[in-house]
Amino acid sequence: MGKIVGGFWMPHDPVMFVAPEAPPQAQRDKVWGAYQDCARRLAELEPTSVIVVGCDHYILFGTHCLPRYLIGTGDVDGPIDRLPGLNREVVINHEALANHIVAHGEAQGIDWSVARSFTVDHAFSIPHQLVVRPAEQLMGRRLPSIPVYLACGVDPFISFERAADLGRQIRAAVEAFDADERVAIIGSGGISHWVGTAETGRVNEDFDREVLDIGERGDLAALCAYRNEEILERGGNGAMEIRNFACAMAAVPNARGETIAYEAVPAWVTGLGFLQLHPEESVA
Amino acid sequence: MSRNVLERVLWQLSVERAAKERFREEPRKFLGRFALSPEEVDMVVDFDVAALQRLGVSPMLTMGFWQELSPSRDMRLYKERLGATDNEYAGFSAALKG
Repeated sequence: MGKIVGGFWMPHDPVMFVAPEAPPQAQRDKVWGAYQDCARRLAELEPTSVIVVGCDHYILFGTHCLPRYLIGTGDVDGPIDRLPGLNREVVINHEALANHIVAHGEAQGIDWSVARSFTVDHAFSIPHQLVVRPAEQLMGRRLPSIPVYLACGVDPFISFERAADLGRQIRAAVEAFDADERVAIIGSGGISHWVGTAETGRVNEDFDREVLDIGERGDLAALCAYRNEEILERGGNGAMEIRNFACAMAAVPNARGETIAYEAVPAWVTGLGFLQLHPEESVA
Repeated sequence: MSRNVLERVLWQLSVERAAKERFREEPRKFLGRFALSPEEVDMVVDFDVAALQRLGVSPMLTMGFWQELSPSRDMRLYKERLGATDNEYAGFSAALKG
């Protein structure tokens, strides 16, 4: 029987790579250090595989096809977007588990869109290359990683309720997996940021800390209670990505959060929050 | 609906190298392939990102289009074109210039 051993929320901010020296040194150190901390914490969970929940930014999917939710079940590489410091590389997938999640979902009324070959964008690659790959170094073995993409960047957006449904279904599928699998899940995104609007560069720390507080309390209902209009007003169009947080939180049994770091970084256009999701039984 | 066609055009111009080259060479000829009104063609050719957003075009696409193909690619000018009037986020704009 498989198990979800923990999860994380973390950002995937491309501006960190485009303008690495834009914020004050102390902020840079704290944010890069948070990724290192997440890598260490991930390794301590002793996972055997990772699921990264990200979202497209109108790069991977065009007007011809806008999936609400998708899982990569086969060949994976990326990122498709070139960012200095991020390598385009092949990602080792866990095809058996990914296909099991799809088959299990079908029996539960969850019809996954499937990418048998998939080139991810930075939403997957930043957590993967800054956290999963360093955790592999610490553990001395590879961590096959499955990409899940939810429609957070381009409408029609996935509903919070559906994002949480997917998290619960992922957990049930892992628990029904016929292997001693230990899965960590990463919700990649946010928190507040305005992308391509006149407000780009604005950060709303009050909103960000409110979201992190919800994470610490493990209050999935409160997270799912956000309406789009409120998010757009208080967190910006980029904050729609907190749907990825809902999916990850729902996947972790009785999740309780621990904030690892938070920095409001206007120079990197984002409120950057890092949080670990502990299964209830592991909370002291 | 105009938004769908405009987003199709801007998505192609953001991700497809051949489309970018054709647009750079002869923008109006490239845009003639699509069901756009003359006003919409002007919006694209003029990089009128504010008008495009008013029609509902995704800001992610207008920003990508601007950064890929506009003459200056300057994000400060992009934000000015969107009506930003303050310097509150100048640090970000300077960081991404060009």
